[in-house]
Amino acid sequence: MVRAAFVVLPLGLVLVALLGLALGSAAIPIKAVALWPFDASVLTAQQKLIMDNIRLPRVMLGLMVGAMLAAAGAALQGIFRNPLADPGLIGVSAGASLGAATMIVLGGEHLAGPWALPLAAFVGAVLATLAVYGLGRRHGMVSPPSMLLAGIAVNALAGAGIGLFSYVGDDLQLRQLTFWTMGSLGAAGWSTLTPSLLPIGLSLAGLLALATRLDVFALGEREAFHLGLDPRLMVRLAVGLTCLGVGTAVAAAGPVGFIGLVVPHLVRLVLGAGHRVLLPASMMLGAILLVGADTAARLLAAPAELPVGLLCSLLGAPFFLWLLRR
Amino acid sequence: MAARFSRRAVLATAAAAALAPRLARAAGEARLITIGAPTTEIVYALGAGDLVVATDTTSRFPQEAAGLPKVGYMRALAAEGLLSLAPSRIIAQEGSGPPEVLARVREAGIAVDEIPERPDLATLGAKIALIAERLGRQKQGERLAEELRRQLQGVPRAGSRSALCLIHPGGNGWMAAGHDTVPDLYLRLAGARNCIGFSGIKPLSMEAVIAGAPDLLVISSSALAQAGGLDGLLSLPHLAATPAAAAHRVVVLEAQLLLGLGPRSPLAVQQLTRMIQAA
Repeated sequence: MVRAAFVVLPLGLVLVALLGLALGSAAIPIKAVALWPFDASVLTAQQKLIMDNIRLPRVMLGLMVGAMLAAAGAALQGIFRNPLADPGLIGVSAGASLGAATMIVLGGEHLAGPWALPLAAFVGAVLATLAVYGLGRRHGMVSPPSMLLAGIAVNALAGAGIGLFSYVGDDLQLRQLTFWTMGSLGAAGWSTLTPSLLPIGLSLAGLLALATRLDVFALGEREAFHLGLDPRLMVRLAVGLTCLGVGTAVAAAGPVGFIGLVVPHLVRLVLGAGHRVLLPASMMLGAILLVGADTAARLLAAPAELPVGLLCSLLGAPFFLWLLRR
Repeated sequence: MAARFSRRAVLATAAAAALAPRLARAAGEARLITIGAPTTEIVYALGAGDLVVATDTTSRFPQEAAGLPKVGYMRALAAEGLLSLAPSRIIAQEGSGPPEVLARVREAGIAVDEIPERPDLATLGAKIALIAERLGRQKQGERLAEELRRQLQGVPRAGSRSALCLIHPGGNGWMAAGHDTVPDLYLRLAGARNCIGFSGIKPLSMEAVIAGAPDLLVISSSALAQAGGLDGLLSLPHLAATPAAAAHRVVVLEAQLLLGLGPRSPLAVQQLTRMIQAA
């Protein structure tokens, strides 16, 4: 089963990436798309711009964000030994949204710069995670249950802050905030992709490296300690890497729900709970789901677009239910 | 499962390809996409409607514009969607976006104009002048601006009645238009006083309504429908106590007309003026 999955998933990844490049509201012949990497002259100038500046960075960002969200969800569910944990729980998404809301409403003219909004979102994500981590400690020891509760409280607080900014904001800011919180890959370009590569790459590699230790951690904190693991360091690493990677992903694409929570469950149902399989398989499935949903989002309402988070749930939730009932 | 999914994806692509307008761009012919209801209305009022190939979902007037392909909501546009219609120029109301999407479109060499949107008559004149200039229709622009200026200034001033403008029911309450909004400008042009003290469009406190005692209610047609029609609206407890409800003085305006300053603004002001004079 596992071996089959590690053939099917990479194939799916390649297929969905190719579909994402080949399809879109602008009708570019598939043949031209196929020849484009070898001979750019098969495309008109306009089509080349669409491929170079819109579809390629968008598909790449989708792959990275999807993989990141799913990997973070798998790692956090492991660390907290709680099936409902997802990157939102340690405050990343809510913190990023609050950072974005602050910038949208108070930023004024500064918002004109392309960096302002992602940077504010990233800073918000980091601050919220630090708050959850700090509040979740008891007598110097990290306790996952306290961190879960602290996460819920920080989420509520950030929600209140967003509500406050929505009240103060004018109509335009309110709309902007609403659309930001829906999550979208529509703003993807090289300027959003390039700065995301390093932090997301580091985070993915780091989480993969933790896989074996996450398996040990699953036995329980005390057991892990006796097996020579430092639980405090584990929590710190998993939370820190998640914050870095998901903070970057949310800054680039806004909060996209569903993937972080459900993709690890999907993988676990089919391939089991071992993290050395779970983490890489979740990454691939997350990337496939997000890029697939984004491609559908671009096609279904063309020339307009649907929010990609919506389509992720629409495509993923019935599949998940089917697996559960099987 | 996988096979069925991919077949469906292929079908969706085929459908998208078949539906995509494959209008060859005629040499030198301008192809416009207009974003924002007032912008679209001004382009049509300047006689350039036949150049418009697509609009956003807020552009529902005139009839011809309503039937065109829609590129989505004005603040949630898609770069490739816009480019797929092969426009030569995009005329977008201020606040259209997201900004990154418009940046991508500009990178592709398409002219994108941002048309200012503020609730005052000077901005209306500036919008018309700017659009007319970009379309090379300065003559028509001057004529339209002059016509609107005449109609909006020619409206007689009535006494100082107070009015309340309800926008749309939010999740669990009503929103009202305060200062610095298009409805507030309409009210002032019609000679009424806005009984709301805050600025912008915000949730309404019931006490503020009762304290404001408006003689006139202004409401968008969609908000009225959601309130259950006129009877439903006037039986809301905080509204029932107002002089406006007692005398059934309610002006219903289409939301696009109520919130955007454009060629049809005189219509709104005339309706308000009639109701205020009858009060």
